[in-house]
Parts: sequence; structure tokens; C-alpha cells
Amino acid sequence: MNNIDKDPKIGVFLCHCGDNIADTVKIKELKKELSKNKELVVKDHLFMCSESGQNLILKTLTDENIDRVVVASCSPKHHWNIFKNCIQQKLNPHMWEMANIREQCSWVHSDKDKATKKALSLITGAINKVKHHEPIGTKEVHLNQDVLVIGAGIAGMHASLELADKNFHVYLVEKSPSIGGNMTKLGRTFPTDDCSMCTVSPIMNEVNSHPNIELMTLSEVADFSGRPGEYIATVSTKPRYVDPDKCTGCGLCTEKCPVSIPSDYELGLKETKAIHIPFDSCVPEIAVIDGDSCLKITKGKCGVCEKICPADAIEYNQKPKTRKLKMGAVIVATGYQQMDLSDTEYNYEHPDVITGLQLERMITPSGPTGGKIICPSNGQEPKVITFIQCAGSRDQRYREYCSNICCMYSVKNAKIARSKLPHAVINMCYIDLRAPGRRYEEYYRRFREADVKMIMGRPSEIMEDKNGKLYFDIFDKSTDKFLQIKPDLIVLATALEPSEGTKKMADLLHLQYGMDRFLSPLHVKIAPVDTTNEGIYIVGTAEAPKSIQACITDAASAASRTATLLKEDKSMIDLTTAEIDLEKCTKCGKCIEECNYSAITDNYEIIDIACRGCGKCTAVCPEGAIEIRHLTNNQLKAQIDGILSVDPDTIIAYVTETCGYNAADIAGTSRREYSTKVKIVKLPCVGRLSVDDMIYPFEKGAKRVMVVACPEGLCHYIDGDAAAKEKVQEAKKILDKKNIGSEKLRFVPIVSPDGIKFQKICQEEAAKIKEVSND
Amino acid sequence: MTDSVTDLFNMTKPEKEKYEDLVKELGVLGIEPPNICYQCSKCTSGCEAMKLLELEPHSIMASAKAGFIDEIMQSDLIWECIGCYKCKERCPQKMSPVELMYIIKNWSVSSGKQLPGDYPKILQGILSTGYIQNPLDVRDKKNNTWNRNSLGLPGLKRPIDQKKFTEAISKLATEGLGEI
Repeated sequence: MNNIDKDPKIGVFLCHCGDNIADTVKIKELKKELSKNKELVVKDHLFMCSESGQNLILKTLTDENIDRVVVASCSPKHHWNIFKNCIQQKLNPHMWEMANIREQCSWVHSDKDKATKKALSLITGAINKVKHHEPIGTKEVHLNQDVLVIGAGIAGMHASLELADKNFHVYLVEKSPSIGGNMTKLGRTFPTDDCSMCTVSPIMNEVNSHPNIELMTLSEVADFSGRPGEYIATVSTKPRYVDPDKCTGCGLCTEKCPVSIPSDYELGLKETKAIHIPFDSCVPEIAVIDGDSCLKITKGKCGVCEKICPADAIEYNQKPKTRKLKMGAVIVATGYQQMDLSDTEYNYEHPDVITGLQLERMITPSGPTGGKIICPSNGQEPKVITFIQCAGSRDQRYREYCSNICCMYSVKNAKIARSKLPHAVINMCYIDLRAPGRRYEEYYRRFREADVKMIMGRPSEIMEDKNGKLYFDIFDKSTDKFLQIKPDLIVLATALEPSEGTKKMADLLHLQYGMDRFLSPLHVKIAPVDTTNEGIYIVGTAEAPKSIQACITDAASAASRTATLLKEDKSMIDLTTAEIDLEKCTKCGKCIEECNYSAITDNYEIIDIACRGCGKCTAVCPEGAIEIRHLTNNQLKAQIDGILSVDPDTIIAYVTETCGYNAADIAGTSRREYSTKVKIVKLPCVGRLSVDDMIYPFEKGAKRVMVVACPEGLCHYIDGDAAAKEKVQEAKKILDKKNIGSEKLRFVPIVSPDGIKFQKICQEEAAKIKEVSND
Repeated sequence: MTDSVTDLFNMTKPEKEKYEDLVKELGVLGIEPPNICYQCSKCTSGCEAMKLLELEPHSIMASAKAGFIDEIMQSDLIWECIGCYKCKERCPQKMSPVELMYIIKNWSVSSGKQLPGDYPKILQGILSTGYIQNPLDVRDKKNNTWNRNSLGLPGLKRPIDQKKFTEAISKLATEGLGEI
């Protein structure tokens, strides 16, 4: 079309693939037809992928001074790399194209003449496209090899240790005065009944003493900017009012402090003092002053702790600090919190209705009750305990999802309650009991040996009589009985929800999240710790409610992903990314809004390391100023021109490189025959298509157009399918206006293995052309 | 819900069409199809009619899910629902056994089924006086009858033109509010 400096010389290599192609496609005729064009040097070979075939390509490239190549053979899913490695010995690795005349031609057609014409059409498309190819370079980007880990619960600590052991410098930022997270609050853990603190305490100490980990407690990420490999975070640290180097953790100050406050750590079951050591074996094991309640800090009176401290560690005049950090990657491990069930039918306001986590504190020997299970209202041992499952979970009114860990921890806690209170009546109200995991079902079986009455049902509401005594009615599905239970203590398996920190980081780091506000991974199955932002990973319960085991797995996985990215202080990236022509750009902001990967800066520069080359930006640019180098507008149009110049009786099928192309290949390998009218045009994602791209084939004579997308919710680039779907609607309106007919453009989602559906839609579309021509 | 399923107790089969009608009518009220119900039986735990009359809303939902709609229609149990709406209020999946039962009760009446228990008497009372029982004879728990005057309560107005009133009520019941 334009911008071609000199007449290109193109080598076209036709593969017989034994008789796989040559039996149906008449190679000789093809060769004759193509050789008419003086720009082309056409060669054929029985097996182009063989060593002798590759040698033929190399020899031709040298002898004929060829600058572009088209290989017509099998699907690029098979031999793309073989041909690419061969061609790049002589040319830039992007100066070629493949035409699939096996899976998408010889294997799906039986009429030899029609198949040969289709092959010629596909090859001409590829030739036309490759004329517009330009060498795509690589770029070196600098990578800062430090890592920021946000949140020092079990997931954050484990990820930090994994990275620190690999010699990465880790900044570990924790909001609380101690590291350890929620795991330090648990009594025991399933499925081993290990003491939780005994498991987590060594990890906390290792984190604290590791030379490659820089620990920042009482700290939060307050600001975040930069790009993958060079992120910048501002960390703000609240004053501890205690010199960490001097404090020995003797606890004398806590004894003498006159101000009592509720203890965050003990979840309201015990009080602590304004100056306190957060908990036994906390890390760092030093005191902290609560600035909001300390008399000296709020009113200038008191000062007892300063007078009494033998280490002279108290510093009332400490101020908040901020620090700017630079890092190459970030791991978000900000965890969960328990849902607040106040003002619901669970009567959480009653002191004897507690959460599972509160019970964990009670069963901990060093906990607020010294390991005894009591009713908070009167301090007495309960004679009847009821566990109520799914409190707030699996509930459209509160939290829609299953909180994952409650079945197992309630089973564990009920078993512990049984051994601690041998004479108590213990019952558990549940809907389904879920125990999927290594040794979980066996654990559940052992639990059933204990005397815990299982009630299959859910109470409608928890009430109290006029003396404040708890009771509720419940229909037990397993016995078909309507029961009234009067427990002394009710333990709710409260829903887990993303912590405040998790919600905050989602906004600050521009991470995607679900309706439930948990952070969304890049791909829920195959990229579970990656996010849409390159170099930012999510681990643990910030992503979804999960067990400690799963948190550890996440952490190791994210550490590995980080190490892969930051293995060197620089990285070469292939520039198969977007490119902006700033002279054409009007800075309308549409591309920035469209990009799912924050790959375009406010100054309209492309962050190549962040760009994934989907082309969604191209599709919305009104000026054609932003293009992806590996599929420019000129290339796409030239390919369609080429296809239609040979055979205008064509249905253009725009398919995604992933699902759609694969489905077509599978239709090919299973020899599902369809009309030769269908010609496939490969895209990275249907999100690449502008409204214009959908209409263009009609202007050039195409009969119909299909946009074959990945299934809803499974787009490999987040939401390219949705973007294309919208544009199809727009394009349909234009087609109606132009009297072409909106019904000729079709949007079809397809899953990768569905060759049957691919054949079906091709046949349906082809049949519609016939109907029209018969009329 | 296919022909392949038979209830061996009474040799009935699920009714796909009726299930779909039910889904449609619930849809008008913004309520999701019974299939969504995961049978936690929270509705039954809180059901006021369960306590005295053994109505199990979750079983009604289960029968509806399975397509045994006629069985629900023939059952006298659904008439025991007192319409307190607690099941709808508390359902974790935003279902509504109470609305489902109202729909089926309406179908039942349209099909001409004889209403169970005191319902005909109550309906008669509404048609003739506008009240579900004679308000001048208030009965207490011990079945003693009290006269409103003796309790110091104000007197009640009765319809002046009994015939006109009965006609209006009948019209309301058969043609709906729009016609009056």
C-alpha cells in the first residue's frame, strides 16, 4: 500500500508435507501461478521443516538476496520456531509470515480445485502482509533487583525468605507493630493439630535476622509509582515512641502504665496497656506506645514509663517518618480480616456469640483465658457450645463466596473443645462439610469419632430470652426434626473478607479486583500469582480465602516469578509491543483508558516491559496513531486485500491466536470439512479489531465476516472479547446504514478445543451465502 | 427434568413446562429460579408455620426444583404459610419460598381446586362483611367471647349497601385493582 522503500524480494516456500498437503492442494499449479509475479522466488519441498528443507530456505535467502519470507505449510503451532530460527540466521526474525495450508486448508477440504484456490488466496494474503513487515528490534531495560513485600503474615514472610535466600534484597513492610499476621493468633492448625505459634515463630525470627531482609514495622505503603523493573514506593512509618535498639522487652513499663486499652491482638477478649509488648514471642519483641491513648503523648501528663524504663528506651517525641524506596518487583501479601457480623440475624452483639478466631485465642495456652474456653459474659465454662458454619459466607446478602477454611478449622476447634470440656454438649450446624485437601477427609473422619452432634441446617436467627440467654430454632434435615437449641456459647464460622490493607493496595497499585474486593490474578488457572501489572504479584488471602498451606505455595510461587523477572539487572525485551506516533496523537486518552496493563504513561510513552501487545489500544485510537508493531493496520488490510484479490467469494474469520486459531486447527486435525469460502485471519486478540477493521473486508468484496473470540471471561488479555463485542454492535449499525446488512457480521465466542463448533459456524455462514445467491 | 425420571410413590413425572412458568412468574417479581436454591433449609428453621403446622419451605423448594409442581399444588401444606416473609428476608441465596407458594396458590385457585380448612369460610366472610371473622365476637385464648363494647373498643362500621359491597369485593377479586 505505501511506505515500502524498495521493491521487496519475497521468498515463498511451499511445503508438500509428504502428501498431507500435496494430495489436496495442487502444489505445481500453485507454484506456476505464484511464479508469474516477478517479486517472488517460489520453491517447494517434500518436507520444508526437514534439514534439507531448511537448507533450501537458507540457500535461497543468500543466493537470491531475499528480504522477506512466506512459508506455506502446517499450523504455526507446530513449526513456527523451526522456521523462525532458520530465517533469523539471515534476516530479522519478524520479516516472515506463515500461511497455514494444512490444518486450515488441505485437511478440511476435499475439492482439489477449490482447495488450491483457497491456498493461493491464503498465501497471497501472507505475501501482501509480509511486504509491510518491518524489522522489530529488541530493547534493553534496566531492572532494579530489590523487591518490596507488603504484609508480613505467613505468605509475605515466606515469600521474603525465599527471595532473600536467593540473594535478593527485600523490603518487608508491615502495618502492625509485630510481624506474623493472623497465624500468630491461632491456637492450633489443621490437619496436624500443630501449635500454630510453634510453627510460625521460627519463621518470624528467621525473617528478623536475615541479612537480606529489611523489616519495617508500623509501616504502610502510602504512595506508589514507576514501571515494572523500576517501581517507586513511599513508605510511611508511625512512631513507636520506643527506641528499638535500647528496648529489651522486659515489660516493666506495661506493669506500671495506668492506661488500659482493648487489645487488638486479643480481639477484644482482654485489655492491654497504652505501652505494651504486642504479644508473647512477637517480632521485634519490644514495646510500643499507643499514641492515641498514652497520657503523656495526648495530654502531656504521666511519663511513668520513661521514669521506670531501665534501658532508657522511651522517646515520646518520635515523629512519623516517610521513606522512598526503589524496587523492581512487588509482592502484595496484605491478607484478610473477619467480616463484621454486627446488625445481622447472628446476634453478634451478644457477648457469648464469638468468632472462630476469638475461640482460637481462647484455646491458646498463652491466650487471654489461659487456654480455657469460657463464656465472655460471665467467665464460666460453657455447658453447651454450638458452632454455626457459613456465618456470612455463601450468602448473597453478605459474602457470596465460600470462605474455604471454615469447615476444617471448625472441625479442629470442635475437636479441641471436646477434649477441653469432656462433659459439655457440643453441636455444629452446617450445610455441606467440605474437606478437599491432603489428609483432610481422614481428619474429618477422626473428628466424627469425637462426640459432636452434627445438625444439617442453618438457624434463621439467634435470639435471646428475657434473661439474656441465647437460643435458636433449627430444622435438622438429616433427622427431619425441628429443634430448639439453648447454647451457652456460640462460635460463628465468620466469613473472611479482604483486609483494609488489601483494599487500599488494590487502589494504590492499580490492581484488578473482583466484586468481592479480593485481588484478581492475571489468570485464575494458569497465572494465579501474577497480576495484570508485570512485576506485581499477589499471594495468600489477599487473593482469596485460603489455608496456610496454600499461602506458602503462593509465596514460593511468587518468589519464583519475581526471581525469573529480576534474575539480572537488565533484560532484553522483544518490541512486539505498541508504538505511538506522537505527531498523529491528539492525546485524547482513549488508549490509556483502554490499556489493561498500565503500559501507556500520561505522557503517551509506551512502557515496553508492561505492554503485552494485545492491540486493544489500536482499536480505539481515532487517529491511527498507536499501533502494535507485529500487526499494524497496513499489514492487516494488506493481508485481507491479498486474500480477497484471489477469491472475493470469501468469509473472513478473524480469530484469536489462542482459542479461535486452536479450534480451527483442531477442526483440521480431526478432518472436519467446511466450506473453502472461510479464510482465517489471525490476531493476538479480537480486542485488536477496530470497527473499521470489521467493515473493511466488506468494502473489498468479502461476503461475510466472523469475529471469533475467546469465551466470555476467558480472554487472555482480560476483556478483549468484551471490547470486540461492543464494536461488533457498532459495526452492525454502520453495515445496516450502508445497506450491506448487519446480519453478515457475526460475533462468536469459542473455546480452544471446540473444533466441532468451529466447523459448525463455518458451515452455517457458508450456507447463508448460498441462500442469498440462490435468491 | 426429563421423562426418564418417575416418582415411584405416585408414578408422577416432573413437569418441565410448569417449572418454566414458575420461573417466569418469579422473574416478574425479580426472584431467581428455584434451581439456585442449595437446600440449606434456613427458611424452614425460621418458618412460623413450621412450628405448629409442619410446613417445610425448603421441601417445597426442593419439589419445585425437581419439577414436581403438581404435587405442591395438590398439597394442603402450602395453605399453612402465614405470609410472614421471614424466609424471603433471610434466604442466603435471595430465593423466596413465600412468593413461590403464593404463585402456586393462585394457580391452584384458578384451576378450581377446593380450598382446604377454614379458607372457604374466611373468603365468605371477606365477601360478605369485609372481615375474615366477625369482629364483634372477639375470642381469647381460653375461647371466651368478648363483646367489643364491653372492652371499651369503638364500634365498627358495616357496609351500608351490602349488595353493592359484595359486588365490589367480587370484582376486586376477579378483575384486579385496575378495573375499580
